[in-house]
Amino acid sequence: MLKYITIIAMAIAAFNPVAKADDKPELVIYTYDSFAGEWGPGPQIKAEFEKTCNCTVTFVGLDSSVGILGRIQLEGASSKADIALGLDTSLTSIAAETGLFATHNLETRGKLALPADVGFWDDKHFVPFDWGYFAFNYDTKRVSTPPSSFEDLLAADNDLKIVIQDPRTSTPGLGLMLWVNAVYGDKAPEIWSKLSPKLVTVTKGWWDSYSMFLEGEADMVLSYSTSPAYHLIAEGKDHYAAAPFTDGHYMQVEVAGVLKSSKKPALARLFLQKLMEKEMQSILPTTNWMYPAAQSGAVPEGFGGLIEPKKSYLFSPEVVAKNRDSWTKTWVDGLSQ
Amino acid sequence: MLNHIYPRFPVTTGLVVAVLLLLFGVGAIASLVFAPTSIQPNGSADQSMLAALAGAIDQDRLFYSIKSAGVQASLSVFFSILIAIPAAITVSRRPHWLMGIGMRGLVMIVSLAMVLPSTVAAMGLLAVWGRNGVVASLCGSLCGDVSIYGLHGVVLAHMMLNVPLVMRVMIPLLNAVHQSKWHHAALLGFSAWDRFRHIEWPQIRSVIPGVASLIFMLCFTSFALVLMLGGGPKVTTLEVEIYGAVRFDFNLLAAAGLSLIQFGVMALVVASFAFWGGWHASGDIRTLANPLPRYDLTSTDRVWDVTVLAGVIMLVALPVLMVAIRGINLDLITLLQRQQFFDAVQASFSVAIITAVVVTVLSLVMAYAKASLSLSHRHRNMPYASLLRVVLDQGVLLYLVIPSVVLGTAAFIILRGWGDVFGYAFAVVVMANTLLTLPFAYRLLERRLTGILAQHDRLAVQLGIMGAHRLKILTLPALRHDLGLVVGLTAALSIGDLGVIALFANADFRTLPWLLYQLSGKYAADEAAALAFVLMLVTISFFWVGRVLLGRLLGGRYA
Repeated sequence: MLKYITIIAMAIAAFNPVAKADDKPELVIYTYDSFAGEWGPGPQIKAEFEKTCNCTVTFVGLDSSVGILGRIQLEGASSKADIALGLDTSLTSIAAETGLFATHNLETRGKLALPADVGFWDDKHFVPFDWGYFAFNYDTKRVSTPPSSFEDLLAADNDLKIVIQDPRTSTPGLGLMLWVNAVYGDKAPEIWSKLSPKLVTVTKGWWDSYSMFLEGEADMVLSYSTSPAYHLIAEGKDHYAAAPFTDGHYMQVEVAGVLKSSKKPALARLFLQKLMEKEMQSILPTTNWMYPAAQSGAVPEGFGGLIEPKKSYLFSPEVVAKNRDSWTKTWVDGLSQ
Repeated sequence: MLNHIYPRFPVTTGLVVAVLLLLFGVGAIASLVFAPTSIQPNGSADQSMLAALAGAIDQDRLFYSIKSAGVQASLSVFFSILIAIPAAITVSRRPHWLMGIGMRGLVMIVSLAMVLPSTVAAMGLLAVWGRNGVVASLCGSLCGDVSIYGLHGVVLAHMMLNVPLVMRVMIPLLNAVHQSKWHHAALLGFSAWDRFRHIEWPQIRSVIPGVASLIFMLCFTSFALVLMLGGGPKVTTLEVEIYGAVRFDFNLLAAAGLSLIQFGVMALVVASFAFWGGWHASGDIRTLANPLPRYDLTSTDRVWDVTVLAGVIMLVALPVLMVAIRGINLDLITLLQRQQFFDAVQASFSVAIITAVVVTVLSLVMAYAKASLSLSHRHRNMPYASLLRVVLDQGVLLYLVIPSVVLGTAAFIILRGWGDVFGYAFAVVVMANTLLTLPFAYRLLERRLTGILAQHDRLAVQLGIMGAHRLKILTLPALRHDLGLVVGLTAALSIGDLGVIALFANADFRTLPWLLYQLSGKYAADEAAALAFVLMLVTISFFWVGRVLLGRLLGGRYA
């Protein structure tokens, strides 16, 4: 019998959580995992803020951007997070309705560098930190004549394999859903069922699909107009491109907000303020590969060759909040046919 | 008459455990229904509970997902059994092929596929059938554009995991056919079809309803593989919808309602399969006997066997091998230097070992109670014995159909009021893994223990061998192979689980499958491949060590 007791004791000893001995305050930020990861802005942002804050920044990378909101709702008032970073304007109204977010109390007037379509920024809960256009990306070595509109895309041969993201989990996926609704309105269901045979798969997060695209499992991927800049600047590869659509492109404005349940609201607001300043804004373009949202941020050279849509769309947060459920249902049904 | 001799203690303990399990399962679903309105913005107080549940569920989607899961599970069952029958026949009659070692190796690889974590299985399948996989590179443009994503991908993955299961149940039965039968068949000039109809089919058909029911259940409630290979919302299961309700829409009420519906559908399915031929799923899947060589086989049989073997290798062994081939790369070294990796190894090992111990104890207790209640000389005539047996069965079977995401979410909601939820991550993951593997363990032990008790119960009592002493020198040694299998299976299944951890993983606690899931979505494809290989090795060694080690430990003097 002693043998078994020894085995059990060994098993328990094997699990022995190490206590964290750290007297500095910890700022916990929930974000999507490509932001938090080794190759994302997370590590640099953390180092930048820790220079002055006398605190420890912990990024918690969740599996997808919409997952951040789900996790915060699930945890409610007991959430460990001080800040949620990486939601976008299609979710801000829904997020504010949960009552879990505090106001940011920051002056954004005169500091932002968002395109005119966004309009005047008057969101009390969230501040924008970067923005971009959604676009279908392709490898010029494999696709010689990319589609130049949705009509083109749908008319293409079914051999053209596309990978997209789920609008229920990922903000790019949600972005495509809104894009199609912006361009086609009531005809959206038709578009989804026509798109269906071209889809290799639908992934939960943006990274899953983008890495599939890079590994050759798909010819085109829904990503950002700025993604080719990554390959150009970081890898020196110039054969990735975004396909400009004559229909126009849907925009994304990524935001961050402080949680009501945070026990360090002052520190959290200080972080948001720093996020708008030059140092952090200059990190974002070459790590998150998006345009900086504040005037203080500089756009690097490699961004010069990117497509510049002549027309762009962005629904107001309220319109998205009102229609998201029914549009999602249309998406699910359309792709299920 | 002798009832008083037999202690009631095992029955009572087993029942207490079963009732606790039932209460816990019901409580988990209830906690979702009655989740505080603060986190349930859609719920209104003046609705009746049923109306609220019905209102939360999108009915078109519900029927669609039942249909989709039903079609998928039926196809998976049909093709798994269709492939497994010839495969089992070939393997059982060609034990000396490939110099014997090769054949044993193949059987080993095939049985590994049974316990392979679904993430690893999916990676193996992609390496074989993906656009850059073995098949596509071998046949080039001839095969056109093969895609693994979609209904066929999910069915293929389920076949990869379930063909081995069916084979393992059938091979011992085929090995048990007496040598003279084959001899007579050859003298009578039987064709391969006659042989199948008159000898092989009657031998294996009794297990088909059982395995079909088990596979149907596993595939109908399949989750990770459907999410990974389904290719979008077109292929779905209720389990995936429940996951979506929790994670995508944050609609806990719908999740609770869908869980109840899934439970109902599964109960119907189990009942109808039981009507067809009873539950024999566990069967006897112990060490394969080595039968005598066969001299009645013709050259046509040889061609057939080669074809079947090639098929099995392609379907089951090749993906497993590809995980190994892709995994042995330079990034394996990078991986082995990561602190995260060692933390994950430690976490996974602890989860697997503790789960295995807890499951073994619980299933043994409950199996003992069930056996006592099933044997006529013990408590079979006790009032309500049959009702109590149902309680025992349902206590565990409930967890075959409760999705892990429901268990995880329930734990989350309940623990929210008690401080830092993630502090409980370890306990919750162990609990969920325990509950989800308990049905298999219980089924394996219960039948076997009934047999053992029937055999030596009366004699042992007459000789006065009782209590712990009897457990040590009689019961455990007789059960050692099955206990070994239970320990190995539980440890292997819980090390690869990616259900509850998805909710509870955090910087201080992550397991190997979670790390793999995180790595595979990154540019670190090679490192993910390396980790998949390591995870496969770990799973295999747990499976093997559990079986062999425990078999030895419990050997006892009289076994």
